[in-house]
Amino acid sequence: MRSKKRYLLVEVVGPAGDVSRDVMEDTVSRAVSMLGGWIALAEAELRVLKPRGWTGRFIARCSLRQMPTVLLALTLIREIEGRPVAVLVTRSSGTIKKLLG
Amino acid sequence: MRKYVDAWIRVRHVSLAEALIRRAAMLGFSAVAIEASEIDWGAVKKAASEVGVEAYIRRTISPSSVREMYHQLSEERWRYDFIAVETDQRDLLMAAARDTRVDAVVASLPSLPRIDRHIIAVTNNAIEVCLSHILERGFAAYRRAKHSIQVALRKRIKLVISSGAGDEYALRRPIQLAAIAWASGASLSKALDAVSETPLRVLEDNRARREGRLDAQGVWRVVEE
Repeated sequence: MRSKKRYLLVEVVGPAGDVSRDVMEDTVSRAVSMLGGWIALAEAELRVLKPRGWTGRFIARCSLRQMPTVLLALTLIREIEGRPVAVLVTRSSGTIKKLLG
Repeated sequence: MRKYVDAWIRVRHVSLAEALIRRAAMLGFSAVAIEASEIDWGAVKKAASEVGVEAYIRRTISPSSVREMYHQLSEERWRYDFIAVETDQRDLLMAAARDTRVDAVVASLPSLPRIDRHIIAVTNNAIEVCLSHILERGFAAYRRAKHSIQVALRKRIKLVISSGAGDEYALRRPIQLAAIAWASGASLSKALDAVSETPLRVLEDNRARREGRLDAQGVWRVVEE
């Protein structure tokens, strides 16, 4: 059965500059696995999207079940590639269309 | 609609106050409890009113003995809207948890003694979990915070979640603060209460007490106009 998904609109604030999608996905994955372990990471079905033309903003997709863990993992991110940042979750929704609407 | 409160913002220098308050407002907080020196309070309050955020004055005390805590409380209680106690001593934790002059006991420090049934039995005040402790001290603080949240939920003790931010990078959105409790097993509405209703009620009641609109027994003074 397909699991329900949640999409989070994420903003990276700080002197880290423009962070690439791969770096962001790696950072979030590490934060989730640090908090909930491999099981939470696997259940989260995490994916980070960066639409063309976006700077410092991402869409993080996760399973509904692991949303609290992913949200907390994003909250606890303090640095990306050694530079201090704050990761802010601006909105969340069940579809990308509503998230951006 | 919920009104969100960040119950602990640390202003170390008045020059940082405006940026911190402006950022808190931008993140969705409509009230903030600020820990600042009394000299800076005027400037802090002015900055908050310019941004349209309700500012409350907060004090966190770290006494070394129960006697010192009682002395500090008798001196300072009604000069502040919110008083929290930080401690790593069991007898102090117990005294702070039951003293009606204390609003919250900071329960996310790794050095906090274990909250056992004896402490739970006398607890009247809120348990406060601070995000900056988790950001700065990592796993040990998170483990302590999670345990404190679970005790609060199980024993129906009031729970407050605050950022404890000293700079802009430690501030987060209300839902992100609530995620600390949500990920520890609380329902989303209970987690959101910890950053809205619970601290707001304490702050509003204390402000009313300080202004003479509410007496010590909790009776509101109604003035006919």
